[in-house]
Amino acid sequence: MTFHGAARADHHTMEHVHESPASMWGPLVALSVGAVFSGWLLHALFIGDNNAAYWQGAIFTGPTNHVLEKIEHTPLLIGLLPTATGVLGFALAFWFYILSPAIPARLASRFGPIYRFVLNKWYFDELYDFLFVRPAIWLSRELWKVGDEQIIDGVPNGLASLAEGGSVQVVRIQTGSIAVYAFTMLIGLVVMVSLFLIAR
Amino acid sequence: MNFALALPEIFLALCAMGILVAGVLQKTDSTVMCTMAALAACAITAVLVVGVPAATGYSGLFITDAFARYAKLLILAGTALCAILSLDYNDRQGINRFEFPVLMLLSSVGMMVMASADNLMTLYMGLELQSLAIYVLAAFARDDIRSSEAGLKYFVLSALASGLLLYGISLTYGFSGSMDFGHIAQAAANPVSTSTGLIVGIAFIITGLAFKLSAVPFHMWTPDVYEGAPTSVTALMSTAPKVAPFVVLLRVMFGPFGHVAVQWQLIIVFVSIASMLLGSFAAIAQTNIKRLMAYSSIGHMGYALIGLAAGTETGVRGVLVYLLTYVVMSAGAFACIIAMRRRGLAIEKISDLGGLARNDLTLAVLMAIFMFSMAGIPPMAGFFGKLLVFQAAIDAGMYTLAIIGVLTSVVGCFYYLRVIKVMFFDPAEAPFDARSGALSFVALATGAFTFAFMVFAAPFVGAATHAAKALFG
Amino acid sequence: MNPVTASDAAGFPVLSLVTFLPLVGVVLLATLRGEEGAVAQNARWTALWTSLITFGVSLVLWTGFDLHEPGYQFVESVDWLPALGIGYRMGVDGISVLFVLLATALTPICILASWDSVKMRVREYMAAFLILETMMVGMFSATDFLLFYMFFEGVLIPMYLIIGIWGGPRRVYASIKFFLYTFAGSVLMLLALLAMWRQAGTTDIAVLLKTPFSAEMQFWLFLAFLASFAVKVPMWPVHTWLPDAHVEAPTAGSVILAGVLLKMGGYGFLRFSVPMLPIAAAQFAPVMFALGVIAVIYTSLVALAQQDMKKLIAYSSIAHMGVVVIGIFTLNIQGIDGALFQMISHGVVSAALFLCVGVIYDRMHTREISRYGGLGDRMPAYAFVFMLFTMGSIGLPGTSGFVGEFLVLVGALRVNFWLALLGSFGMILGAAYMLYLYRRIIFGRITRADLKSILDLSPREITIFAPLVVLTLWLGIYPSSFTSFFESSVGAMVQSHDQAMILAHHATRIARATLSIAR
Repeated sequence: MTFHGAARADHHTMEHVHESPASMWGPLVALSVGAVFSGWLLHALFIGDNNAAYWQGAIFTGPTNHVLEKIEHTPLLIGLLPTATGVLGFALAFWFYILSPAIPARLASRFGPIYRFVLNKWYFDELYDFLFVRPAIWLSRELWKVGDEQIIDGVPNGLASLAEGGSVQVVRIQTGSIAVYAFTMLIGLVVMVSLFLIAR
Repeated sequence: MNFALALPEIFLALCAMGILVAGVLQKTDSTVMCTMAALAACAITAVLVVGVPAATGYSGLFITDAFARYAKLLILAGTALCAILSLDYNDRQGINRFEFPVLMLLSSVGMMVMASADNLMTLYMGLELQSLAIYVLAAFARDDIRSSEAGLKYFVLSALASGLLLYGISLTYGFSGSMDFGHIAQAAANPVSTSTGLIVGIAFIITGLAFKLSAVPFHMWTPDVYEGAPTSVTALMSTAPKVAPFVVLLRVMFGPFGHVAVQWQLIIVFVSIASMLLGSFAAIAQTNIKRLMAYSSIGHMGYALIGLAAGTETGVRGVLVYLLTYVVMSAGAFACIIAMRRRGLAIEKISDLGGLARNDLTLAVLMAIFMFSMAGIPPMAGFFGKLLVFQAAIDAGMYTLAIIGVLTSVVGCFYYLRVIKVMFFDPAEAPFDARSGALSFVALATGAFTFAFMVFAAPFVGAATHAAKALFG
Repeated sequence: MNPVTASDAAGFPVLSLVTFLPLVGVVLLATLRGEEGAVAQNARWTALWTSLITFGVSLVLWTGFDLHEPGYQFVESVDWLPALGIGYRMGVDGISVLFVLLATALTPICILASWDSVKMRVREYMAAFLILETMMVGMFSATDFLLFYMFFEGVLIPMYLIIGIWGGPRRVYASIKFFLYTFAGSVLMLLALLAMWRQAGTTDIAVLLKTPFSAEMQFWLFLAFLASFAVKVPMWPVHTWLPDAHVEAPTAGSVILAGVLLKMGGYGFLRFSVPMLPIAAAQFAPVMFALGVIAVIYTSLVALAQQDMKKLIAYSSIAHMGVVVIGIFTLNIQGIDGALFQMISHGVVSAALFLCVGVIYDRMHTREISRYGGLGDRMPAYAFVFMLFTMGSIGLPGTSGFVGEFLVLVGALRVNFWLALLGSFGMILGAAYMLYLYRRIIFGRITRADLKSILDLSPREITIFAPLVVLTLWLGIYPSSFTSFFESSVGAMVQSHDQAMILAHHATRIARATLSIAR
């Protein structure tokens, strides 16, 4: 879809499309060489018979682990399976997008639910959003607004307002009347004497 | 008769009378001269105090030991600082009369006699001399109705407290057969056989002295009188006249009543906790800085009483250091309060301090030092006083008292912080009038002392330790 | 007073010099006279040079530190109140030396960061910062408990003023809350100090370390210490002063708060709770783990919901400190090493993050996340710096954050699998809220008109960030140059802790045996 078929972008955009500069395609060439030939080149070292000498224990292999060896003895059909699937994929893509581009659209409309399911990556993002993100956001807001601001902060703030209220109450007995003051002193004296007498 | 023992007191009393005569004979206003003379008298008396040998004299009426010496020096220092403060305030307030320093000196004579009391009679004499002078001082602004009211209120309630004290003295005399501290101690030597009458007598004596300390529940006069009295008198009231009753309380409690300590300790704990609680909580609602200082001093007396409640030599040392730091920072704080004046009028609302840091940074910083110190934040001097009394409480195993103490100091911290907040965080009000050199001197000197006390604390703590040791013989 | 007896090679009181040098700057600031603008500019330069010189002197600690010595170095001791057993004792060991350096390094950065943003009462501001530096350095280098306490409390005074005078709209509430919260905790520690003082007869930490306290006493002492240090760390549930303080504080205030002041709690645990109260520390470890895990998960979640950048980073700090607490109370070498490393790393990274917030706050005067977006277009350098510190905060390998968290988790794994698992949630959630924050601020398209003309980092800002970038990478790539400082001290601490536990174990066995014989 990116390279073949009629251009879908407008004229203006197409003008800006040009071959990438050497700084882009140079590394790409190197990478493509690696992509095609690395298996063939490094096979002997990485997983060949001498791989033990190459890795020198850097990758630990259990004494009963013979997976590398068993790979050599897989049936031919299974060995060719990746290649076959790849070729099949090529063919399918050629048929769908080059030969008759209408087929995908028709398939999409016929198998609508499945198409949308796959198109939306199996709705995994939505599932995660529903299962984790939303509850986490909700929980964090609750912890903040209720847990921190009301409960945990409520204690010191409550104590502070309690102290302030208490202060106002305590000061209220300070009426300025000498009689009240003298009376308070006498009450205090009585309390002290009783404390004294009880304590002994 | 050995006059040398009471020489400082005699000298100071003679000075007071001499200044009085000189003031009367002067035609022109002689307040400044009289105050200077009073300061000189204080200084010479302090030298004399240091020179007096440790002894008991006048048939056991009078004792001069290291404890008394420490207390007297502190009293003289407090009086002198307040005398300097009064100069500027009285002048601007129009109450600059030469009787003022004379009365101050007489009051300190009374306080010094209290500090040296070795007999209940001496104690009462000293207490009354101190109080009489202060009644007059509280009503000194006689044209100001608030001042007159303060003087009257203080007089009436103080008379009641004196009556209670006298009653306690007579009960003690009746049940122990003596006024002499030594004899009373022998009579009370066996805690089990101590008579109920003696115990009640102790309670009355504590009441009389706690009134002067403005400890809860005998504190009711404090906010009103502090607010009403001229600020120069309030400054005096919150310094030396707190020291003298306290040291005499220490002497009485550990001297004659030392053997029944387990019994009075409970009362002192009660008074101490009540004072700390009230001092810290009630101050929160105050808007007047002088009332705030009143509650603050109630709270401070509560903390100092912790040292007494501990009932140990460490405790006494703690109290003595606490009183020292308290006197200094109180005098400093009042120097800042006296500096609060706009267009000739003294102002005393906390909000009037708004934005002081912009107008007068030095004053704001000094006031902040005093406030932090009173809140007990290191490295200020106030922390050290608290540290030592709490140390005494912990050493005596009084954990509950110590915990209540530190927690109320957190509450108390709030209102000190609020004063700082007003000075530093709030928008600036109109600047204060230029402050006089005398005020600046007191504020700077006490501020430097409060701030740097930690560095040279050793000699002071040493003196306090020595004094406490003397009390315990 | 006796002359100074210093035992370092030069016989020179380096620590006192580093501690009190900033006060010289304060005195200089006080003498500045002239018209306001000139005074402000001179104040800035005076403060900067003072702090730079202080930092320079403090580098002596880095170069002269003996890595193999577990005890105190650069020791100074002067009689202060000999009758009471109080002395002026200074010294650093592996645990404290890096914190001293952190404090001296962050102060010039703070002063630079406030260069333009603080315009009012500059002289007082600079003085407050220098006093704060004195208090911080003094606290980390005090080896006398009372001296420590004085510096520990003294920190409150300048910080209270910094938040209260130069803070945001709710500064009064925040500053008083900060002060009272920490003060309430500290006074209980004072009582613990007094109780220990009574038993040992001195406040010398070296003596206190050797003084055995009964198991019951340790229990109460530990609680008292906990009250103080838990608030400072801050641990859940006494953490709520921190977001408020951070949000209201000026940028540099937040930087120093997150960078150094939060370390006071963890340092206190390591200096007092663990070595002096070994039995109680082991006894309380499960509680501390629980609180640590709650802090990590709870505050990380709360961070996720924040709309204010500073608040988000503040909450992330609490989560990171939760990891530190877990590390400390694993009581093994990896855990404690990790906790220390995490503290250093957090000191650098969170300080830098607050500076990052400050950069855009200075331009836009808002910290609301939704007001930003797409800054990457206009501010590429900023985006890079912010990304690096975001990664550091998440704990990406190669940055400083990784080493600490990894070590703590290794230590935790040695204690309990579930502890390590729950602790590691912090890293996951950390990635969530930090990347979420980054995406909302840097990525996307600029939608607001006023953001279109926003400027990238200025040379001054680059100067501020450069050392922090270097440090973050250095800590992450070659951690040994830092771990080597504290390895021997931590090793000695863990060893003596294990011995104490063995002794305690024997004691209980003997007690039990005697009891059964008595029966």
